Amino acid sequence: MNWVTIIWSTAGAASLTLAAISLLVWSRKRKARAHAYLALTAIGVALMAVTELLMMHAGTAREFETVLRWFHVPVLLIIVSLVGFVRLYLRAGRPWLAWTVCGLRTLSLVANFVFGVNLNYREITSLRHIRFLGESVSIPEGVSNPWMLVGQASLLLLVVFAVDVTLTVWRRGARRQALAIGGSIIFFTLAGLGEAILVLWRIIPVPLTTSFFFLAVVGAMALELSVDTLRAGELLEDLRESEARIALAADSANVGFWSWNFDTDLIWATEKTLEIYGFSTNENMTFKKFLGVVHPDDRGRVGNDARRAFREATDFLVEYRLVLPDKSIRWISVRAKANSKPSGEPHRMLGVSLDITERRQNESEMVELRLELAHLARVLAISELSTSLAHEINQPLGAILNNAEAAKLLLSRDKDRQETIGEILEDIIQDTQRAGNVVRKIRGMAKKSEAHFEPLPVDPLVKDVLKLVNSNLSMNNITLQLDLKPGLADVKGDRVRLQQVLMNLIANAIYAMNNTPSRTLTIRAAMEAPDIVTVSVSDSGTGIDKAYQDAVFRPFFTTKKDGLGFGLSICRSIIEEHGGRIWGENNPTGGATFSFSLNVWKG
Amino acid sequence: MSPRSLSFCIVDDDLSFGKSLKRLLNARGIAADYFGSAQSFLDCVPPGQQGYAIVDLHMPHCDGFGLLCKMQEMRYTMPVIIITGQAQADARDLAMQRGALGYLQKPFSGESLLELVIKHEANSSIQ
Repeated sequence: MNWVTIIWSTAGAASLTLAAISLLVWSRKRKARAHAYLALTAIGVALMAVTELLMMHAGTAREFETVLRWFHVPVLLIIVSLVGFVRLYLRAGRPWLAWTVCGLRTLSLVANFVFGVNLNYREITSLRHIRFLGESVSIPEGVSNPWMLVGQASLLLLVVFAVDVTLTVWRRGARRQALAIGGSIIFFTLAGLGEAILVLWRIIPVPLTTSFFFLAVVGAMALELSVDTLRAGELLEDLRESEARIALAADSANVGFWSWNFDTDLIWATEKTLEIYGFSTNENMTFKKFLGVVHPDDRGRVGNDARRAFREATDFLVEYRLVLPDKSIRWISVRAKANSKPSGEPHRMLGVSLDITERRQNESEMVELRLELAHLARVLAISELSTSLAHEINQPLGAILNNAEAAKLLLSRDKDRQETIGEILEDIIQDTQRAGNVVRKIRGMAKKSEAHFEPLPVDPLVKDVLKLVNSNLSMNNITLQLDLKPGLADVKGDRVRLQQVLMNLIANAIYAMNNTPSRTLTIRAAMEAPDIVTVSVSDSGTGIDKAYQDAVFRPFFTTKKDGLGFGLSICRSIIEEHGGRIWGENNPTGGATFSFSLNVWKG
Repeated sequence: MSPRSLSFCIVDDDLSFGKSLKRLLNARGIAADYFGSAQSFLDCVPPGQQGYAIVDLHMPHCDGFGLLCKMQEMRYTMPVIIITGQAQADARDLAMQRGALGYLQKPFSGESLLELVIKHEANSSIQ
C-alpha cells in the first residue's frame, strides 16, 4: 500500500458511503428525490476515483486507453445527475442550458466510444512513469483527439449553467445555498477542467485527479441536504411547540381542538375536547360515540350537517346540546372545516368545540329579563294610566254624587224646589257625559297603530318565534314537536303581530306545563280549507278549567299570580283584526290546544 | 253647636264639582261659598273668619298644600279639609302631617264630610 492507493480508495469509499446514505434516505422517503441525485453523483465520483487509480497503475498503453475510455462513463453520470440535482433541489437553471450540457456530454461519450481510442486520444503511443506522492504512476503520451473539445465545451457550459443558477438563487435570498452548491460547482468544475486541459494537453506531467474536485462538489451537496434535514427537524420541533402553544391557548379559552379522519372515523382530540364531551382522556373517540352524547333532539340535525359538510368539503358550523352522564345539559358550539382529498373524496375535518352553556344561559336570562321589563313597562303604563284616569273620572263622579245627594235631600223636603232639582239633573247629565268622554279619550290615546298585512309564509313565522323561545323550552325540559304540513299557502298577516300571538300562546303553554311531569309542546300548521290555514299550539299541561272556558279571552282574566290578563285578549283582537278566529279547547289526552285560523293571501 | 251655624269655603278649580258640593251643603242648610282658585279665596276670606275650608289638592298655580301653607303663615284659624280626585298613596299622610283636619278622596258622600266636622266640633267644645 502507498499514498496514492490509500487516498483514491478512501475517496471512492467516502463517495460510496455518501451514496449509500443518500439511497437509504431516498428509499425511506421517495419524495426526497434530491437524495437520489446525490447518490448517483456520489456513485459517479466513486467510479471516477477507481478509474483514475486504474489509469495510474496501468501497465501498458492499451490498458490506459481502455480505462480512460471507461472514465468518461462516470463523468456523464456525474454531470447529468448534478444538473438534475440543481434543477430539482434549487429549482433554478435554464432548461435549455441543462439539456445542452447533458446533450454535449452524451455526444462526448458517443465520440469517446466511436472516434479514436477514447475521447482524449486518437491513440496512446507510450506511457511515462513519474513520481507522484512518493509513488511511480503512469501518464500517457499520444495524439490528442479533437473530439475532446466537445467534452470540454460541455464542462464550460456546465459552469455557465452553474453561474446562472447561483445568480438566481442568490437573488432569491438563499445566499448560502447559492454559494455552497452553485459556487462549488463553478469552482471545482473550472478547477477540474483546468487540470484536465493542463494534463491532457501535456502541459504539466501529473495524473488526472478530477474525482477529488467532484468529491468536493458532492460534499457541498451532501452538506446542504443535511442542513436541510436539520432544519426540517427544527421546524418539526417548532411545529410541535406551536401546536402545544395552540393547544394551551385553546385550553385556556375552554376551546376543544379536534381532527376527524373520514376513512378511519377516528377523531383525534385534545384533552379539553374530551373533557367538554364528558369522555375519559384515554378513550378513542369516533363519530358514533360522539353522536351518542348529543341530545336526541339535535342528533339528526348534527349528523346530517356533518355528513353534508364532508360531502361538500365546506364549513361545519353548528350549535347543539349534549347530555352528560349526570343528565346535565351543555350547549356546544362547533366551528369546523372539512377538506377533501385531491381526488375529491372526503378526507378529514378540523374543528374546535366551545362550551357555550353559560352564554346560552345568559341569553335566556336576558330573554327573561326582557320579558320582565316588558311586563314592568306594561304595569307602569297601566298604573300611570289608572292614576290619571282616576283623577279625570273621580272629578265628575264626585260632582254627580254631590248633586244626587243634594237632589235626594231636597226631594225629601216637601217644598217646591223643582227648579233647583232641574238644574241638578242637568248637571248630573253633563258630568256623566264628562266621565264618558274621559273614557273615550283614553281609548283614543291607547289606540294601536294600523296593522300591516303582507303575504306571509307560515313556516318561517313559526320557526322565527321558536328561535326566540328555544332556550326557554330546553331550560324547562320541554320537548318540541313540529308538525308543519308541506305546501302551506301564504297567509294574509302582519308578521310582528302574529309573532306576538304565537309568543303568547307558547308562553301560556310553557306556564301550563310548569307542574306536569310530561312536557311536550306541539305546534301544528295545516290547511283547514283551501283558503284557510290553521295554526295550533298544544301543551301537555293542566288544561283549561271548565269554569273558565269562556272567560279566558276576556281582558283582565288571568290564572297566573303575576299576570295582567291581557295576553289572550290581545291575541284575540289581533286575530280578529286579521279576519281570523281564535279558540281554545282541552285535549282528549290532557293539556290544552289553542288554535287560530288565518285567511290565505289572495293578491 | 248645631250644624246650621257652620259655614264652609270650597276651593276647587273644577267648577262643576265646587258647584255641586255647595249645592249639597246648602240643601243641608249649611252656608257655603265657592272659590275657583287659592288666590280668590285668600283675596275674599280674612284670616280671622270662622268656618271650614274644603281645599282641592290638584289645582293650577297654587295647589292644596300650597294654600294650606299660606293659610298657616297668615294665621288663618279655619281648619282645612283636603279633597282630591287622585289616588295618591302618600297624599293622605302628607296632608295630615301638614296640619289638615282631614283628607277625603272624591267621590265622597256628604255624610263623611260632615262626620269629620262634627267630630272636630265636639272635640273643640269639650276643650
